[in-house]
Amino acid sequence: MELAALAFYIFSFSLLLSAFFVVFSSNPVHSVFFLILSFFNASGLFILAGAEFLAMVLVLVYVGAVAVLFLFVVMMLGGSVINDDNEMHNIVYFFKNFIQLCIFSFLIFAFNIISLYCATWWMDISFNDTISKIFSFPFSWFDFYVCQSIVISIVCIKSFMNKFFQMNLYTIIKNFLRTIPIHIVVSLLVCGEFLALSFLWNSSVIVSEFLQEPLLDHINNTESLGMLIYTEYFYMFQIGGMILLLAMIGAISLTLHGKKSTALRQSVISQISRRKEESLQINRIEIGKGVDIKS
Amino acid sequence: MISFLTITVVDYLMVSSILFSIGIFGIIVARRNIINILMSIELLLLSVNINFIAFSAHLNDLLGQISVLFILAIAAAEAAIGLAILVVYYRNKGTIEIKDISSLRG
Repeated sequence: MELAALAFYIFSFSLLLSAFFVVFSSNPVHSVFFLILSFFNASGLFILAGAEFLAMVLVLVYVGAVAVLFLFVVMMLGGSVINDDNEMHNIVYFFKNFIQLCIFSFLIFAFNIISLYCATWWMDISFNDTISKIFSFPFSWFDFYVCQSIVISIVCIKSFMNKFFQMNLYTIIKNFLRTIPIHIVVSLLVCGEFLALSFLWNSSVIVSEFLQEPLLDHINNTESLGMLIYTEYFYMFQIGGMILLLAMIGAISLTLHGKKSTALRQSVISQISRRKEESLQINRIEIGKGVDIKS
Repeated sequence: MISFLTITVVDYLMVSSILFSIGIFGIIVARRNIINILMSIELLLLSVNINFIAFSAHLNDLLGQISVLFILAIAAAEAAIGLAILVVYYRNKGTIEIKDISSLRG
């Protein structure tokens, strides 16, 4: 049990760290590699939750196909994406919209504090086990979460101080007023999610009566998934295959559209205007001798 | 037993919500070019999948894993189409920077 918990913490911590570097890495190639790392860690989490087949599918499909596709596109677009300008060497290059970042992270941090007080107040009046688990120990998810928002705030303060002396106050206020509604909406969205998580989702007892497909003990994960997919969810499976076919045709037709001159195409006229005299040759071959083919 | 050594569904929800907020952050704030936004969308879908798997294990219900399977298929199709559109856009316009894409702004 302790080993599973340790594995969970390792997998989830490296998942979140690599996801952070996907967003904040300065080089898109590094971002793609961190994306691959985060998919590996997510498949580890899937295995811990008992979904072995989906862990395998995640590694096969995402690492094998999607991430390689991303890497291919990044490499193909190469020059303009990677070697942008000397601004890339600045660590705060990504925080060009620094006002937006400041508002965003400060609102998140403020709502973090509010949710902390709300949750502790709620914990005092109802001694729920899982809530006390979240806030129990020096190392808990909530501390990690507060540390994350503090780090984000420090980074954005730094970028704010870097950029502040290059802009006048009027531009700052104008940007602030222009972008304040979307920040409020997004911050409320994210913080509402966090609040809902802090006030523990708890399934009632009667939920087991509404199960769609209960897990079986005597067959493994892959077998039970196969028994469901090919029987009950057969039409969804077919629709999924059809959507993949559509995606394939769409991607090919999109990327082939621009270059008609270099693409190899069928020439229908030259195919149907062939005649027997041009294309067929009848040889009489003596026994024991070969034929010289004249092209 | 120390309580944080037992992993419940709430821990998975914490991980997936932090992952979701990182993806939202990548889309809204730290955006630079379209490839980063597509990768952030992949992170969002991954966090949704973690939620599905956690509830599937918590409720002993296999329907969540089937949903994850279809979400994976649709996400692969979305990534392929998005990258194809990105390549075509780069061929036409010569840039994929977000700050240069303002044709619809008028």
